[in-house]
Amino acid sequence: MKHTYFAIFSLALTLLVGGCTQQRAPIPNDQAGFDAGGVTGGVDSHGKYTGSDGTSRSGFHLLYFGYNSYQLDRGQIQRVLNDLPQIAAAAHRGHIRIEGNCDEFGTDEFNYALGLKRAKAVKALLVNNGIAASKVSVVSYGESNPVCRGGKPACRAKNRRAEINKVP
Amino acid sequence: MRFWLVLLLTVSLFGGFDAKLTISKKADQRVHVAVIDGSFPTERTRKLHAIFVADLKISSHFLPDEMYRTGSYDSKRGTPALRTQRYTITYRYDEKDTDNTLWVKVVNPANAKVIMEGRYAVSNPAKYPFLVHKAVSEINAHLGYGSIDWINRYVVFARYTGRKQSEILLADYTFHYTKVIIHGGLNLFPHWGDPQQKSLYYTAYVQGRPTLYRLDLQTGKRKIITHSTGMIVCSDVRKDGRTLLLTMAPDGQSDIYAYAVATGKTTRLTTFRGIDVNGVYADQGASVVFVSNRLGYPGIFKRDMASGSVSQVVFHGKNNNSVDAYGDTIVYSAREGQGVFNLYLSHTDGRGGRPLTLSGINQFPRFSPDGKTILYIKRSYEGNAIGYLSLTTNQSLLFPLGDRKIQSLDW
Repeated sequence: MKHTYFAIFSLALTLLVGGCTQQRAPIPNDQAGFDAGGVTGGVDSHGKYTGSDGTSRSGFHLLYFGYNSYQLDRGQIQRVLNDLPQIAAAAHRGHIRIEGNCDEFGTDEFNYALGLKRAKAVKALLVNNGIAASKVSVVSYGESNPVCRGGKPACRAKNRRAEINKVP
Repeated sequence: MRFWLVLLLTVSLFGGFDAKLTISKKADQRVHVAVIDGSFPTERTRKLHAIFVADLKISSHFLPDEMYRTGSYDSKRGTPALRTQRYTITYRYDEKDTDNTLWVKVVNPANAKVIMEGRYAVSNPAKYPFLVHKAVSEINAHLGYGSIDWINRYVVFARYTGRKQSEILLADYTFHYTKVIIHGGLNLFPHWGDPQQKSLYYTAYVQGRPTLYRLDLQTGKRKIITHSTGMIVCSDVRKDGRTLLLTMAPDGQSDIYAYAVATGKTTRLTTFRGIDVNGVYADQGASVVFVSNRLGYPGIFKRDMASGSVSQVVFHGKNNNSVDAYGDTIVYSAREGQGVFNLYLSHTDGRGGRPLTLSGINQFPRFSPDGKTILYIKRSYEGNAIGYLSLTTNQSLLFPLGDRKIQSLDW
């Protein structure tokens, strides 16, 4: 009888564990063609990319954010301040556009708004440091503009970013 | 001891599978039917069989035998072997350049009596799935069941094709038929402009500026509606087509606006300093439900249109980032751990919280026009799929979508 109890218990346990496993299915990498390399940093406890690599098309540092966050931390603020003379010069000659971006998680409409808040946070920092608000525009590209594609957390974190670019 | 072991076994066997139990109970009430290919069998006619089975399943009124069978379309004899089926549906498909025809016959297999017969034709062979949808919706109506005419509708969706690149397509609900209608650049958030599906709204980026367009599908002409700094999305259209719900950010701050199509007048509906998006009409237009991070994480809220007051309507989960409404019923997507998004059904007064999915990433939930079925996108270990979930029988169907990521959709 003990063997019967054990068999029933084992079967029940197997089914329970099997059920749990089914609910934790990983997701596929469903968009090929993006650079999955170039990830030198990790991810902090807020989901922010910790690497210092990455520049925009105009050569300014990329600015990274935590999961669902649009707050610039001290390290990211310093990256902006390091670029400030060049950004100010570019704004003087033309115009600056800040592009906000997100990772692939979440629904796209929320992600577009989140990207916009990230861009707006960077704009506020530039304006607070003397760049005319009229010289800076913001736009969100949501999750449509990833710099890294892959399942690794650091790769996804690299997409939670803002880019500062010159507009001629 | 014996009691606890039996209890444990019972819980492990049936816990978490309550939805399937409901199906098996209600399955007995559905009508058994077999589908027979009376054509010269080809890959196309086999696909037609699969679409017949899918249509019959999603109707919630039939329980189709999924076995692929062939037989004579013109046979006058009964089919004793299929006596356990209430009906047989035999079809024959002829494909020519501009004359693609589907003949369909519904027969009682016990006495060979023809219940109904129909002929359906389409000039474009790529649209063959619509022939089956039309046939099944007419069979369903002929036999006196509630309308499933929504299966004849188009789904409009956007999918990413590269960085800052996406295209907008039309599809039948099974995605066997797809056609690109807008491509080049970033084309996002398509939404039907009227119940007849004659027009649609979508967002495109013009020199980096998000711009809302209206496309007339009959004439092919498109018109700029409005634009906004940062982002613009048409997230809902009132049933009469006169008012749009837009997410705009004229000062870099995303809020929900009502836009009067006739006058171009915009009325700001939300003023939160964080994120307000995804506004949809609920309670017959008396309120708007939307996604907001006013509690520090994405949640579902409601704005009463008369008083302007805003209240929380979903108290479950800490990351609910997508919502749709039908009357006072809402469906929302909730993030539940790394890589898991599930759908829940609830009400605008806060009642409910019925789980609809159990695993994978389930997003973009949309009610059917009759509110009885939910369309959604499922990403799981097996790949991407478009899913349909009948709220009356809990019957669910998944159709593979391929590798490209869906950006948004409407039907």
